[in-house]
Amino acid sequence: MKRKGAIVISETVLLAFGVIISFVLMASMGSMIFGGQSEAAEESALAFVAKDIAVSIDRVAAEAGSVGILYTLPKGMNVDVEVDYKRLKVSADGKSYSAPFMALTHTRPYTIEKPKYLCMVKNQDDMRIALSDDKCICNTNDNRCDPACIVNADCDPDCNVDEVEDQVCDDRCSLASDNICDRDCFTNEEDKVNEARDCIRAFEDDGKGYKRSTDEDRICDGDSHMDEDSMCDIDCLNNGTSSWGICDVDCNKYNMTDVNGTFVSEDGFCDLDCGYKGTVVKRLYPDGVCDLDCAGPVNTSWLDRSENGICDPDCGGLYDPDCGKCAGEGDDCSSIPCCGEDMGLDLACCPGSMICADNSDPNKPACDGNGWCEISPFSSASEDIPNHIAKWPIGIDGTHPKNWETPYTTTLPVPGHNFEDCTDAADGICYSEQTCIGDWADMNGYYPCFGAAADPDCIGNDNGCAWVCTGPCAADAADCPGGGGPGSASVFGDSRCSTVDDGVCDTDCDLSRWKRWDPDCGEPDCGAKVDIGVWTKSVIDQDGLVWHTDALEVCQRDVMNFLDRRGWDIEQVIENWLADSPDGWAFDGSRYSATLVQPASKTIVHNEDYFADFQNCCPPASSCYGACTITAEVYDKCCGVGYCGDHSTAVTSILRTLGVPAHNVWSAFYNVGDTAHAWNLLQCDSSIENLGKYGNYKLHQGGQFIVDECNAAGDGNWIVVDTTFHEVYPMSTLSGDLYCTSMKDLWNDNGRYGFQGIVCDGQAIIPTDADNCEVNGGDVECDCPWCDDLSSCSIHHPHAITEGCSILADNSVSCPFKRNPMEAGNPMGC
Amino acid sequence: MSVDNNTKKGQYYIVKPIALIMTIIVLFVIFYALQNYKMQAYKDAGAIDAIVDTSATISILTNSEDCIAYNPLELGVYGSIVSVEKLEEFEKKYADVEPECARNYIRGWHVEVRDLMTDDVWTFGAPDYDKKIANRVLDQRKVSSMPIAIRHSATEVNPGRIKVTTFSGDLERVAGFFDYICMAGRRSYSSFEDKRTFHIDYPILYEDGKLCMVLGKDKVCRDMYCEIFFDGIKVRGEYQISAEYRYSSDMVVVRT
Repeated sequence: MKRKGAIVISETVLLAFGVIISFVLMASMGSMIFGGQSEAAEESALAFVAKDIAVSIDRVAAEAGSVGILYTLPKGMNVDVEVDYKRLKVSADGKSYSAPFMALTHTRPYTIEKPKYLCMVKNQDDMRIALSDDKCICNTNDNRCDPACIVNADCDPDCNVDEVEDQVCDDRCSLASDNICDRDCFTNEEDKVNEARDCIRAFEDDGKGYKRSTDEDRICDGDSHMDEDSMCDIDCLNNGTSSWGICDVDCNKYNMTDVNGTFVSEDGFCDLDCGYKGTVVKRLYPDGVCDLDCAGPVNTSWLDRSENGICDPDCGGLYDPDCGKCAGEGDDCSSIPCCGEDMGLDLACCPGSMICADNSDPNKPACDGNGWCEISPFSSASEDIPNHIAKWPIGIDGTHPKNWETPYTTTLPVPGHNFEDCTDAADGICYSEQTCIGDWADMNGYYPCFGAAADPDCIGNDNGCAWVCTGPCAADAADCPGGGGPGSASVFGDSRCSTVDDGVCDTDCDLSRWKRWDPDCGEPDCGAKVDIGVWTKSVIDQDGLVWHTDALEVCQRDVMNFLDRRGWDIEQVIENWLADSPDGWAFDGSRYSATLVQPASKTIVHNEDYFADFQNCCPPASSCYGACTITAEVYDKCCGVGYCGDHSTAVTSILRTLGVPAHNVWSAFYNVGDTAHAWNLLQCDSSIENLGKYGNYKLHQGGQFIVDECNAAGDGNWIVVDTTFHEVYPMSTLSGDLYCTSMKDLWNDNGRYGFQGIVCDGQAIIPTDADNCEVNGGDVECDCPWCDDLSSCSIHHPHAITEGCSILADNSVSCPFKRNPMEAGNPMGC
Repeated sequence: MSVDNNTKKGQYYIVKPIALIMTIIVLFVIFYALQNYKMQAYKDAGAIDAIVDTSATISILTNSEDCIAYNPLELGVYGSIVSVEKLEEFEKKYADVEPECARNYIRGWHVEVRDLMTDDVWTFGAPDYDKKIANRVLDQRKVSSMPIAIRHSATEVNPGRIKVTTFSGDLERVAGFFDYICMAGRRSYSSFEDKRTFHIDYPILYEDGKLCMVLGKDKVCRDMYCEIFFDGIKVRGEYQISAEYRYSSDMVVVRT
């Protein structure tokens, strides 16, 4: 029997609830699976395309150089592609997906509608990445800008259309001041095209050639920095609240006025981007215009102003009290110091010119190549230099002898400075009077003036410095004293001078006598003065003597440049060699891997370019050891500075070029067992003076030798010059030393003087070695070459054993290739 | 007979509800599995994105002239050669923040470049995390390296190695968002605004010019491109953060 209310939930109700819940769950699943998935699919498609394009943009950015990539959108995808800063948005049917990318596109935001293809091009010049709806084809005559032309380095003129943005700024097409405003080039970034003048349409004109924009568009063309285009863009001005870091130099010149010879401007702006960013005092670049807005607030009058921490050097101390404190780059530092780090400057006061120069580059010392004549303190001409010009030791203020300007390295006039020795102005002084002796026509004592520019005070022909044949001599040899003519080969000893550049120096070419010169004999005004020889060999290899041709280079241009920088002064040259690196020469351990001595010019040039402090470049333990060969086209930082064989070769080349007579300077070499060394010998001869190209070479002055070591060695004796170890000392201190007793050869451009088999006072002092000069049974008897009794070491009478020489019965040596036999009695005679 | 009917009826009253409940449970399980699958797919996609981003970072750093690639003045194209001058510049300028040239503002990264000849090392980018902290706060962390050439001069080019560590966590996402607003505004030379939702697990503060995540006694900080006006987030939760770059003051103002 049923009770009333006994069963509240019947089976049917339960069933109904279950069905409803099941239905709800299934509907949710269905909606999630089908409905959600279709929405997800749509989103996925957009996401896929967006991410794919974003990855492609990054791929283009990750390629070096100018490149183009073509991206093909999936068929059926009709999407708009919007490119913005580091974001790409792809949208269709009201839905969109935004994907980030990493690259900088350097473009403004833009949209491409429903593209089928996307050509992505990166321009190496301005780093811009442009997307365009095309197939990456460059077609220059289709009225359509094709970025792909950039990859081919072609100009598509369709990309340079007035007021049209196409994401392409190509400096091959878009030009500054062509009256076409390419908006893609008028941006705040650098793209090699300054479009300020073409794109600024609203401006005022000062009637003096300068314009100034009147509208602010927040664009200051990145290429307008320090570029004078007569258009001042007010957006470029740094007014203290906003700054682009760009100096539009036209802004200071807009509406400038001439006040008592000084150009001034005052427009309410002091553009601090036009100056050095110092921390204490900001100093503007000099531009010829005094900006009174920078000069400081006025106190009582225009000329009475307060300091404001900003100096406009064009205002000078007269208008700007901040400017009197220090001298900027290019300013006179004779009475005030150069501005320093507190102004963000690294300046050195060049001792010669007393002008501040940029000292910030460690590879380029401040006073090098600045066009100002820096007087070397060691120059003999320095005796005439006014006292206020300081003399400085090697290395101070970042200057090195190898980079000094001297009267020999520059002929630029120095206005306002009394540097008589450097000017080519008509000042009544001929550079080095002794070099301009005589008249060209009489051929006696003619010494050409230095350099290419003529000092009009020098007596000479039209240019004062060159020599020419007295008549045409191209074909008719008779017009050329000495004969030969330009076509003949170099032959020695035929009294004819051949000017043929055949690699052989014809020593018959005597400039003073024949007025003709063989270019193979070095520069004519040098080679003639030093009586250049024909021997170019130099030795290397500690295991035996290996002669390398073309190593000795007398009167070669780089050798002369070395001397130019040192004023052709033996004292300065020696002082340089005694100094540590980088002024003195460095030593390259890796040169032991090479078997040939390198030409003197290479050793000299590499040492001139060497600015590191460490002496031993590429020591055996280093990673570069062994890497250098003299034939390598690319040298590491050490290769080329050389070792003893190279140094000795270079020293002989330098000293002979300076004017040291051949019998007074030698390269020397010794080896015994595993040890060997090459160095140089120089004779202290008080009788020598005024020799060489400029007549500068002399050792003796005022009763003593200029080189101190010669005073110690004594007149007529020899000193050792060892640039590898930075030493100079009397040769007599080598007595008993292996350097002396095992010395194998002496040589210079006049030949090689070997000592194999030489007996000295009955004792063989040199190990015998195969040689072609034997006298009296294989030994060459002579007076001891440098030691009378082995207790002192000095050179007396070596016999010359040069190639082609023969020892005669009377122990004299005949060398047919020598143009002139050495003077009788010359201790080193051949 | 009546006993059997009653038994069947009794069983009917028990089995049907059980079956119903089982069906509901099965449906829930399927529903949960599907949701889980979606989450896993999402996580895997994140891992793939991290790998793609890491390799893109290395490629752009070493080949793009906007970054550390050597940019010859003469014509010519050089791949994977970096300039030692740019390395030194980047090391100074980007000691605690990623350079803009290879940043997507989603992920942070740290770079170490080593010269294999001289053993010189240059580092830049966001500070890397130590392992303990990384496990707590990062979703993803990938390391990738590749050989490069380091150009010291025309005659000295040494072999080197670049190692990039990318990582992604709340701090990177928030900092990336603020830096993105800053640079997007700066490059458009006008004010710029955007908002996003972030889930933050640890407090994030802005102090002394750096954005920092506070992890109890530890703190991880990174530089920002712009000055930020930000009260900070002190409590864990979901936040909608809006950031506005103000052009006139060159700063980003953040509201949560």
